[in-house]
Amino acid sequence: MLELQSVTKSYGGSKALDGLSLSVGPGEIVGIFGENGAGKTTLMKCILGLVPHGGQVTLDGAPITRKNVERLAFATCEHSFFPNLTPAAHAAFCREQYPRFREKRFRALMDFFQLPEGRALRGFSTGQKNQFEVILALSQGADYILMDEPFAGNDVFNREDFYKVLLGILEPGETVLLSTHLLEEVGGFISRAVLLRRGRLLDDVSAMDLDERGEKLLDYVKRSYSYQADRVSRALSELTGEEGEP
Amino acid sequence: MRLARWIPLGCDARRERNWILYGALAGALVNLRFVLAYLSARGDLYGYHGGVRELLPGAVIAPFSELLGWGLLGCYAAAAAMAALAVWHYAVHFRGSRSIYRMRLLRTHPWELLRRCLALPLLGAAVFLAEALALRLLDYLIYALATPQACLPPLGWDALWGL
Repeated sequence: MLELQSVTKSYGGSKALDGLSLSVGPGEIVGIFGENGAGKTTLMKCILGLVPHGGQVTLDGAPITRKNVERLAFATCEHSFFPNLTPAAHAAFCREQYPRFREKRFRALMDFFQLPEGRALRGFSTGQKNQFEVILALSQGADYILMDEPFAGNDVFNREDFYKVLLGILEPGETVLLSTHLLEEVGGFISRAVLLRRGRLLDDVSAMDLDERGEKLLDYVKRSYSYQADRVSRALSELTGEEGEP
Repeated sequence: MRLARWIPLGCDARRERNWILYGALAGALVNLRFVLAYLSARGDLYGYHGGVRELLPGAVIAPFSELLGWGLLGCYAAAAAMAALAVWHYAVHFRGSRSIYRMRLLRTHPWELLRRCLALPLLGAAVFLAEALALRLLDYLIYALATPQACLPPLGWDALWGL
């Protein structure tokens, strides 16, 4: 169980996370949503200990240290691979560093996405780089896989393939925390949605609850954020009105 | 032992090895300053008497430290440049990606990161300092053995270290 208790993080004077508490159990696929600046990326970095923060983050009751950090994997749109290394060299490094490295999964995903093993990552397209970033995270052998906007730059077919593959390969104990803006695409694939707003937990709902209510994820998110559907038409009519004035 | 295991992942081991070699070469080239200064000082010990080259009476060669001057500065500068190499090794983890995240999430953190950022700079600095010591000894040997005994100032540790 991954537990966050009153996690706070400030950048300068502004609070990126404001006393956030959350528990994520094994086997969950949690979507983390929020507008830009809501604290999604900061939340992941706090979990991983990449930024100093207040509050507590524990994994099965123990703070995250060198002893248990390999139980967490991170796929980020900033990319955490080594751009001058080939995928084959990454695999060699991972075999050395991660005792539970999933060689078979790595090969299967490399084959599936038809990524060249012998070419340095810097020569890959953005989409391929994203794919490789996620492949590394999924192959690390971690129990908790944190993904921060992993598909930014991938085309829709690619993303769809990935969701299918992800659902197919994840084992029951593997947990995914996925931060993304692609609400419509991940709606059928996550088991729980966590909504952040200005560093605070706005809402936390399971996919099952949404199903029972007969509500789609996108509608639920819009409602939670008090989205004003007529915002665009009002703005347009105001603009048009201005233009019409002498 | 492969050098690639001691530098940041993806860095070119051959290029980095060459940097160390060029640094050592530059250190040796700068030390030619001593050779030139020594040859000039040694020449000043002689004069011509009736067309014959002979030692000037009472001539004493300049102290070793004066002739050595900044002859080891190349080695010291190369050793100091290793600090910049260490910084560059760290900065590599922010170029083209944020591989620093992966390094920081290793169970071997921070040792793996420190090892890969610092090992070669420390080794390089040690090589350049050793080179400086070897060149000082070599220069001193030239000074002590190639100068006519009568023209040498008192020798010893103090002279070697320029004290």
